[in-house]
Amino acid sequence: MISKGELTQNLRGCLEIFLFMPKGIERFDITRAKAIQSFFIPLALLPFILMIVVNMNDEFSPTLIISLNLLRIFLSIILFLTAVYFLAKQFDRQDHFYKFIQVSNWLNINALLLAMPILIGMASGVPSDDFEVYAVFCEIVGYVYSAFVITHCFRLPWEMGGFIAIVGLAINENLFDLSNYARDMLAVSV
Amino acid sequence: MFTKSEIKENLLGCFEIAIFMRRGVGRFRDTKVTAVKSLVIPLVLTPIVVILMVMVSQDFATEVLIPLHVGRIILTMMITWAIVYLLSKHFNRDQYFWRFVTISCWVDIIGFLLLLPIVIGVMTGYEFSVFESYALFSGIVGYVYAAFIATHVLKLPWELGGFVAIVSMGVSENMIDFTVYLRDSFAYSV
Repeated sequence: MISKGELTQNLRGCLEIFLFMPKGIERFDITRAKAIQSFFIPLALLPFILMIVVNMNDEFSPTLIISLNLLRIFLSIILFLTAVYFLAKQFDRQDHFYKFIQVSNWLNINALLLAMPILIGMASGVPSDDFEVYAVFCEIVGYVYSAFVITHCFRLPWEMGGFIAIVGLAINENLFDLSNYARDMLAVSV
Repeated sequence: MFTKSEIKENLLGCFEIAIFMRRGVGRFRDTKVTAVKSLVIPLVLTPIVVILMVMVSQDFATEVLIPLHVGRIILTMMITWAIVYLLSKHFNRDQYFWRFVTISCWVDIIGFLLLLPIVIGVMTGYEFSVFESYALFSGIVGYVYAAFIATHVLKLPWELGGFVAIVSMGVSENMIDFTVYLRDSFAYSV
């Protein structure tokens, strides 16, 4: 798996990206094996995300919400990575693709840290409505980080990085709407 | 000064405001005495900000930079509060003005926490230029918080809260430009 030195290096990279330091991106490896290994992070953090989603949809059955959201997350990762690969190929930057996968997987740690107040709040019984504005804020900040990572990872102009991040936003939002539609349909039909 | 429970309540309020929870605003007292007492927070934090300013402007004399930045911070606060008072009076919300002053003093703690990575980075020998994007990001986030606070403290529509934040940005940015102009003028005349 990941060596101690690599772990330190990647966590340092996460911190530097959090501070918008371009050198943070250089800390990550460019190999395919490391990119595949890094999928361990979103997998490990998935239960926390599902906990938030289940809590925010407490009027629906948890099994329905978990299966729908697992499918949504899985699909949005595949669609987003495909879109990024396609766009990177257009600009002849596909050699940085594995680094991008790695960085975006490791950045799930930053996202979890940002979402931590929501998790703690929910665990201590604060109603989920109170966190709605903060959740939107985290999401917007997430897309800003995404644009930053794409710009520096693929060495693209920032407008292009921003565009790819917006493509990611479109994929996520549409899949989210679709999963909400499916949730409402399935809940009515049950 | 502040009692232990008051400090606890206000810090909790700061945390809640940091995650955009409206109830955070309600934790602060609405009296003139509390507002005046709260000035101790910017008083404590200003020297640290000024030290950072001095460290990032090493080409200029410290005895020029310190009074300039202290003057700028005090003037910015006074002008912003004067404008907020005028606006709140105009919208018949002047009864909430002291709470606004109290919160804007306490929220300096959040601002300081956002600045902390830059303070640590510069003190450990990093160039300020690597933190420029993060500094800009922190500035923007600061104005988002200002809009949130103005909206919920003065009980205004969010568009007006945003306007108050943009006015404070206008004051702050112009004061920075003016300080830089004065700093350069002094540097040439010495």
